Amino acid sequence: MAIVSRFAFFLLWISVLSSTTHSELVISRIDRRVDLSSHIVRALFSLKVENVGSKVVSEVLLAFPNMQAKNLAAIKTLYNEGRGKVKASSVSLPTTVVEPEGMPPELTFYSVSLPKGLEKGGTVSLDILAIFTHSLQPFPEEITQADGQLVVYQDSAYYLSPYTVKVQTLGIRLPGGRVESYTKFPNAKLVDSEITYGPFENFPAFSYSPVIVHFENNYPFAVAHELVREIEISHWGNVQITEHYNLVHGGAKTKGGFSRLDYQARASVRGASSFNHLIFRLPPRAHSIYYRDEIGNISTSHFWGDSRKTQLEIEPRFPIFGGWKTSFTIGYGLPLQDFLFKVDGKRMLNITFGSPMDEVIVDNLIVKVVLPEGSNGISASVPFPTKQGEEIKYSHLDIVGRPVLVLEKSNVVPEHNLYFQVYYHFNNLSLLGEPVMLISGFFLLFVACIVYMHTDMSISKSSASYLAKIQLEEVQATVQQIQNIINQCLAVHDKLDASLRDLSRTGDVQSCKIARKTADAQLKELVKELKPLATFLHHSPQASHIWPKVEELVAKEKDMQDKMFLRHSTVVDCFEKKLGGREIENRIASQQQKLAAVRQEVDDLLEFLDEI
Amino acid sequence: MVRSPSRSVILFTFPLSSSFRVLEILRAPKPVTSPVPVQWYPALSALLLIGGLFFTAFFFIYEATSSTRNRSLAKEVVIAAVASTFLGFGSLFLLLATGVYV
Repeated sequence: MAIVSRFAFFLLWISVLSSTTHSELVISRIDRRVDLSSHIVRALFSLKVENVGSKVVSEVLLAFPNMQAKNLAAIKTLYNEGRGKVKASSVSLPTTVVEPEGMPPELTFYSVSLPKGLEKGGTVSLDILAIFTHSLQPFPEEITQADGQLVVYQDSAYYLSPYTVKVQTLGIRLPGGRVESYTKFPNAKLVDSEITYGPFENFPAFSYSPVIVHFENNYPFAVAHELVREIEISHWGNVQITEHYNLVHGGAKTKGGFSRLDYQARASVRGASSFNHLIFRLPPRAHSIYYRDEIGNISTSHFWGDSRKTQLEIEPRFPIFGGWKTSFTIGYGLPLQDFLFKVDGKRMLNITFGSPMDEVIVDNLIVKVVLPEGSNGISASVPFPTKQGEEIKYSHLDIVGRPVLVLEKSNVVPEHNLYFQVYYHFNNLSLLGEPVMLISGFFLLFVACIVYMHTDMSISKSSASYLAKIQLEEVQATVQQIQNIINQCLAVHDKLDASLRDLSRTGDVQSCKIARKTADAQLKELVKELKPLATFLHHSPQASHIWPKVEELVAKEKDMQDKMFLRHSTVVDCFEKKLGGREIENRIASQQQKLAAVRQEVDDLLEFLDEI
Repeated sequence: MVRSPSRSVILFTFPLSSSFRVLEILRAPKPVTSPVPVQWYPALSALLLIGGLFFTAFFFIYEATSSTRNRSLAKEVVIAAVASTFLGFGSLFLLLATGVYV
């Protein structure tokens, strides 16, 4: 293999350099465990570093060949404070890329800053988790539907380090199944799909000896070339997440045709390396979940959830074989109070960064946080470096658009699924922007109606028909006004009636007299208002057919007033003479009947005028 | 539905020592909720829209029945304003209830 020959040159380099290395530190023991059971390679190094020099050392260098380093998705160093087997709280130490002088360019160095300097003779235990993507090379590169997928992994049997290593072991965990070959060493053995190398003792710095493992791995190699996650916040109570996946099977390419018959019917030729479902672990209380692509909804999905988690299982439209692609969109809503908080007057969104899909590698992840319109002072705190930008999105009922925080990161693994925070200022009054827009929209509609009803659209302002129409409108308006006044009169009558009833209950003659006086004054006022209107109607030629009715109405009303007052004075008189209730009733019985008859006539007339 | 914020507090206090933790809890983040409970949206929307349509009907009846001379502009504008307020909030809650979170 070409890669191996490249390493021969690399080793030469190293032998030259080995004499000029840091010699203050020595790795007294390192156990490396590499997990190859999925398509994401996870390497855990437990190392014990000892200071044999005289100076205090505050950083430990880790070396990776460039070929590995370019696939390094995440590196995390944990430092155990406790001694021996009792492990106290482990602290994560900052691990950054450095370029120390005098080191070969084929290596990439990471520096771990120790929490306190390592004195002479002191030791420190570190746990380093390194996660690599795209490190399992399919070999052969093309397989048929019936074949299993074989992959090659290569590493060094000795830990590549700028320090001398005293004791070291390497364990490689395989997914089980066929192991085609692995590099043999005197003390290498394969037990239960785990290959162990070592222990090796006393190797100088930059020792390297390639180890190649060729084995079967049919894990779904789901790789998202691009994933756009849009997190849209609405302060009306929802966090809407939309994820656009551009997924590919990153394993060995498929060759030959695809036989649906074989795939469905014959288990032995099923296509062991393909996958036909994907699992998403969504936050609890996720709702309104959808799964679709360009041509519409995809109905093959299953969903279940309880109070702690929500699980979504989706099936693509076709099984995904090596090199095949699919793209789809899933979306879901989350309750606002689970993710949005108020801290020191600022709003804080606290939500996970990566994809909720199981064991997926995302080559390029774009997280867009769409904040509500009117938010400002946006800042983000992400636990790992990302490229940040801002843009504007226009959505429902927007005027100036919503500010969008764009976070970009490449080579994302499930370990990046950490919480990140977005802080912003938001005034709750901005929430009213949307209803105000809707209200003004409706109001404009009404205003248009009002304007239309108030505009005189006729072209010829002097034609006979136009004038007639104007006059008719005037007559109508006058009739309406007369009706209004009559109605007011009737209301005054009712009040007078009520005062009589009060009288019979309380016997308070004085207040009844006052009520009569005010009623009298009100009625006089109303009659005064009525007079000019009646005169106008009398002289208007357009009103000739209504006039008799109106005249009758006015007359009847007058009649009613008289009868009303007559009855009132009768009753009051009776009370002053202290007559019995039966007596009074007898006296006003006839008046009462007449009054009711007149009232009926007035009502009929009003109804008649209403219908004109 | 209401979750205690303790999980997020732990998240923030993780690297801090315990003496800091008390301080952190004092200024613990408060969850932000919607101004109106989400469960009310469908009912609110129905009520407001019914009210809005009632006022709209009232407005148009007034427009059609009162004669040009007797019509009062102030009354028209007031009815229109009330009707559009009801319709505006009603349609907003209708959007929210159907899942269009504006």
